[in-house]
Amino acid sequence: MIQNQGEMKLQHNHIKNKIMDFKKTLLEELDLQDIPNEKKKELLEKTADVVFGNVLLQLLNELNDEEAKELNRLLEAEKQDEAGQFLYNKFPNLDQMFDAEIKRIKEKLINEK
Amino acid sequence: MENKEKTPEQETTNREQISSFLEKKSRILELESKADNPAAVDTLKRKIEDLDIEFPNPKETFAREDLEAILAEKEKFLNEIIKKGHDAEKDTNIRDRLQNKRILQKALDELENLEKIKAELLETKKEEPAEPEKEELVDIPETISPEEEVKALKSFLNESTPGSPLYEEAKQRLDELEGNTETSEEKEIEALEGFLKDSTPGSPFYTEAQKRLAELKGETKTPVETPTEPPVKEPKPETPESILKQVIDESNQELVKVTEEFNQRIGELRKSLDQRLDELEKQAKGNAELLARIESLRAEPKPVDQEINKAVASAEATLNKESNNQDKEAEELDESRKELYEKLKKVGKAVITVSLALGVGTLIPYASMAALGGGFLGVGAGASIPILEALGIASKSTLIGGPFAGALYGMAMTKLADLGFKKLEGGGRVKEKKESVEINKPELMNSLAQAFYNKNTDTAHLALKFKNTMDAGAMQQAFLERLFNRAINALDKETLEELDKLAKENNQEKIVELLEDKIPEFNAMVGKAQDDTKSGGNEAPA
Repeated sequence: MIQNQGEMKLQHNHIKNKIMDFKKTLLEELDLQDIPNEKKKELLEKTADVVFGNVLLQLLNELNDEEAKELNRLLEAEKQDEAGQFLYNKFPNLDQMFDAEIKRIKEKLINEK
Repeated sequence: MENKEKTPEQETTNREQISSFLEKKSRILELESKADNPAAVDTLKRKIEDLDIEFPNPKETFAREDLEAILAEKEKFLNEIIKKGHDAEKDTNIRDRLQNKRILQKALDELENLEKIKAELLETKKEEPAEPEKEELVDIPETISPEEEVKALKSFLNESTPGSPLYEEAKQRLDELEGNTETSEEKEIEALEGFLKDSTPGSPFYTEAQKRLAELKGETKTPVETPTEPPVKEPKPETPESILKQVIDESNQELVKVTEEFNQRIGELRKSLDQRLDELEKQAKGNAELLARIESLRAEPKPVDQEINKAVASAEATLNKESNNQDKEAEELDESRKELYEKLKKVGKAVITVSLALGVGTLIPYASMAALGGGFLGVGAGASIPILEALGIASKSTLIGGPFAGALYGMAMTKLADLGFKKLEGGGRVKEKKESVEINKPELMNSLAQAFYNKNTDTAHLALKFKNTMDAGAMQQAFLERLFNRAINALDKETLEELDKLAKENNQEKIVELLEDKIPEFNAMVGKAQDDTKSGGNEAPA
């Protein structure tokens, strides 16, 4: 679960640096930093929904029939951890898949603004 | 040709003229031979001027042999000018070359005239000397108009070798000019007006320019052939369309100005309001009613200008298009996958809905999840165990509707937050001033959890008791997250900084001491967090 001190410190610094790097946020790039917060939430929800759905489609398309059945079975049996384990084993690059999809959506939003 | 009536005075004058001409020619050629380019252009210009001044007037009476000698000399002289002029073309820039070309053309014309004079004089006697058309030579304007430049360039291109650098440059300039003449009528009008102002009324060029100017301005009346005064630039005639355009332009400018002032004023008012609300919030600490009122004030919609509305609409349109494409793609899945997709998507949507409804902070649960689980925000999947950790943490809560989709959705949300929506942290509203505090709450929470994880026997014991239903580590983390999330959200900036410092020092005793000092209800909060964790986290962190 929680890593050792050295790893955690490294991760903290990494997170901090990464956050500091994002001086210009997506909302700023879209000139939407001044919109009402409710609207921001709405956009966030829609964006997350699109990202989530697209990654989900990618994952499902990558699964073969047996794998899809197995995942369904695990979820129906409420074996969430096993489902997660199954998914992670199948897609060790899941994190990057999200990154790529978010990057794509971001570029699209900026290009079409 | 004989000069039968030549008087001694005339003869003397003619001889002096010839002598002066030959002397001048000699001096000019000497100067020219020493001249380096591009000064050669000026030399040539002077030479032509000298030629005009010094050459004996053919209308005057000359002895035939004298006239023939003069004509021969002049012919030779002109040929030399032409040759030198061609040489000078090689090293000067395009404008100089054009000027040069004009001079050469002038010399060539002069030569042609000279041939005519020679022919006429030799064949028809001196009573009918040819009248040299000096008008064109004299009235060529120093400033080349676009039309002249086009003409000169075309002439130059006809005589030059295609493919040479000069040829290509001249061709490029010609293309530019021809493109401009079609589209830049105003520029042409301006150039023509300038030319007319500086030129001699009545000359062929003057008349031609006047005619062209009338065409461009849409005037149909015949131009005056010999105006007594040079024309001055007249304002364009006002038409209903032009008046309307002017009014619209002025209105637009005024609108832009007013909008800018309005936006500036609104910005100032917003800033002032936010500052006031921040102050009130500090003062209202513990007063739930007042805090709720402040929150509602913050949540009130703020005016947005048309441009922002447009940007929002554009972003929404893009996302809607993406969503529609997604639906179509999902429709094409086979039944088992479609069922899986719909189930997960539905649960995923529930995650955000519940999260928004919590009112604690849109992204805090996911940011916390990421920070505690490791990997989402920083190190990445390849470096640690992100998804499983996230699942472990997510499973603590039944509120989010299902851990598997919740974890996935949480990943999307966390990453988006990292990308720029992170400002929504802290009550789901933008708090610019708070962001200036260099305390990252999830990070601090992580630090605190880490500081307590291995040594806090109470939480470890608590977690072990529930090992049948939940992973011990996950339980402990859930408890710690709940506890510190509450604590952190209840503290001010200074205390958070101090807490951050203590967490980095791993000073648990001081952390507890500080929390108990700053939050009188801290012990009760610990008990509440334990209870909530036992019950599966049915209550949102507050």
